Amino acid sequence: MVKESLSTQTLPLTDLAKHFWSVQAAEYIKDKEVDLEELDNYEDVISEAESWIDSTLGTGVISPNFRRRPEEIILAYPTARMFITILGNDYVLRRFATAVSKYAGVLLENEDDAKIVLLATTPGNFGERSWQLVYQKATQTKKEVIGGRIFEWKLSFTDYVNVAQNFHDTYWKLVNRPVSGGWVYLLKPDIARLMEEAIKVRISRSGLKPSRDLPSTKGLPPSLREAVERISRRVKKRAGELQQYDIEGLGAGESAYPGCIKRILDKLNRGIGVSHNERLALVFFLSNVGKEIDDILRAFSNVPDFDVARTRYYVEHAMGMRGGGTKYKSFGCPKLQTFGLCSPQDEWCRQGKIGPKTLSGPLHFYKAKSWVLSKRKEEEKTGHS
Amino acid sequence: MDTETQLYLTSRFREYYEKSGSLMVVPPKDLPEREFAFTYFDREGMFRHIGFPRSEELLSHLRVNAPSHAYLSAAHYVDPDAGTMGQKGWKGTDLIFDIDADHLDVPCKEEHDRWVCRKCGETSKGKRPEQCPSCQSTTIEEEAWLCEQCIAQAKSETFKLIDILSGDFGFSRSDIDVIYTGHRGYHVKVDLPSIHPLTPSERREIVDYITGRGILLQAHGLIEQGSGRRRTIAGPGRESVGWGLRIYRSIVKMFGNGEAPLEAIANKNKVLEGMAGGRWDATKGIALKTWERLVTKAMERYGIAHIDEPVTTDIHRLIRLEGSLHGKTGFAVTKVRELESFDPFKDAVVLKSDQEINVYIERSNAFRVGENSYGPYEKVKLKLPLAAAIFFMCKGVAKVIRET
Repeated sequence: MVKESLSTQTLPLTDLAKHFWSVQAAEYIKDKEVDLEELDNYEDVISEAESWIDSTLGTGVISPNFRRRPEEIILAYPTARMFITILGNDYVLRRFATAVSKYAGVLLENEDDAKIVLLATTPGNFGERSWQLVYQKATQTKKEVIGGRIFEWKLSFTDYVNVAQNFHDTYWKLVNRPVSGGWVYLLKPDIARLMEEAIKVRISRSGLKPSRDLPSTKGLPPSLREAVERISRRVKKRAGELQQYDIEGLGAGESAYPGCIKRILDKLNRGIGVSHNERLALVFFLSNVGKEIDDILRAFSNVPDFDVARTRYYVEHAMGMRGGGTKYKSFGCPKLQTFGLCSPQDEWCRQGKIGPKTLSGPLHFYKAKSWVLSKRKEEEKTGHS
Repeated sequence: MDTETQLYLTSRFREYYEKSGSLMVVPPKDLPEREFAFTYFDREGMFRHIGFPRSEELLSHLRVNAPSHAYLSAAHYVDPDAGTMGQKGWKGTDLIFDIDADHLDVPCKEEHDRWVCRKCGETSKGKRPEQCPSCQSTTIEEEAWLCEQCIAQAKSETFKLIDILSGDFGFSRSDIDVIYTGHRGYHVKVDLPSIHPLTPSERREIVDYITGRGILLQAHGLIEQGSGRRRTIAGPGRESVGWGLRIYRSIVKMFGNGEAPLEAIANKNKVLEGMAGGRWDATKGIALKTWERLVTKAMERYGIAHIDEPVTTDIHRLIRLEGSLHGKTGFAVTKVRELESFDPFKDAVVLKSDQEINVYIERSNAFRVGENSYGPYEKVKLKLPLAAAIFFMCKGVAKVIRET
């Protein structure tokens, strides 16, 4: 007799369906050992998974059809994940992660407290770590009152900053929370919101690397193949519109940098000194494409007169971490031309245009080039153009 | 620094490492995972990407090479001696903080610090300017001095930091190491497995917490409710935790210094009693904005720990090796067991001898070593006890005179 794992023992089937994103649900499905041939016969599962991806691309909100059997809902999640992996589209993955997490967050806010603790403290639900989360129901004789408010939840501060670092609202900063003895005291809606974010991060970071036994589209059984093809067509139709302003996903790296920036980096890598304006151009550009301060400092570390403290001071200023807190925008093309830093090699730079639009500067170049490169990568994976 | 003095200091540092290195130098328990870096009196630049599989090799390096400064990484690596960060294989980093008078607003710096323009030689007392007022050059050398006041301020900030680390973050006192850097401040270190994986962004949140950046006073209960006669002002009190409690305590200290609004001071006991219970309106006529201004001032003075922020957020940071010598003073990098009574001018002085050394001092401020004060001096030849002579030489204001 196969012994059920502890995590699935404690959640009934209907809860596994509700929390289909969880390790508990994954272990339930793993025990069923459903292979692709068998999955191909489950029309309702395929249809449910496909509808989730449609919703992801459309409203960005998924609504599982709970009139289906719980097992079908549970299986629809890994099926949808498989479709996205085969598509190889990172943007769709991140949108899916957001959609699933938003759905999960709404449920968690109203979920039974003990189940929340179970989900949060199960390793794997939020990546490798499990949370240190404590729930203490307030009673007449025993309650945690801080600043006149009763707190029933506390989360270790390391788990808190791990998630809250992704939030931009000052409300979420650790400094604005009651913190004592290593614990952050929270209310239930905050716990649900943090779990929602943690789920989103986990799914986003799970990546698109297929397992060895996952075939390409052509190798799939017929119903699954047709579903992937339908989804792929819908993704392509919406790709340009969805990705246009997605900076986060357009991290194509140095291959997407414009020539002016590449030239400065090349000089630095060869230990050649660069002018003040070249330094500023590089720092402003790198900080606007999401580089961390240490990555920027490393770019300068080869120059003969590299002074860590001074360089850090200027980089921190440029990134708005010092002085008035202004974060500087990347230089535009006109300024780079004035500084003598523009020597167009790329077609876009020679024409001064990207499609019908005027090329405004390195950041514009980077966004557009990243999109082109990611589209090319996607076409190579799916075999479609 | 002239060659003779460089050689002299190197020989004295070597002597220290030969005689006392194995007792005083404290290799980290996970030595093979740490990157080491050194600077030397007779060479420019820092030599890094060095690893030691065993303590004996580290001690031998110190004895043979007598570095002016010795550092190790706060990070743990798979291959600490790999040539680039990417190749080292980062495993985790201790949580470290630096409190240094360099970054504190201490008035004594205007008296004892000096800057010199390397291009035109212009010099003056006080904080180093961004550019030389005479020739606009940015290559300006700083001569930082240290005195009781600098060290006292750094100690005060360190106490504030320890209060946050233990009270708010829950680290036990035994998990928190305080180390005198050998110059103008302290490193504070927490080396726990739970801390090692923290990313730079997560460490940034911790830094913001410690420095109070982004704080919303209303998040800690300082709010106004109602209007007119029914207006009340609530705020943090004795039952608050974290920053709420710190704000309350800081305000109480302000009262103690007579820095509260006059109407509040006139009814001090009633006001403080009300505040303890979270009621900040025991005396009417004080607006919320007034309290907010006072709280901000109180936090700055009594609550916020003024740390050198990039040190904490940089997961590849180097920190000083405990028991090594600081090349700007000759003092030892010293673990502090009891911060209140720690006196660096005594407790970190390790180069002791009955011997007196002949030196020529161009210009120096006054300085205490042990129980004795020395200086100020200007263009004078004299004999000084070893520790004092080494100090002035390390500071670059004196040179050794070899007896022929």
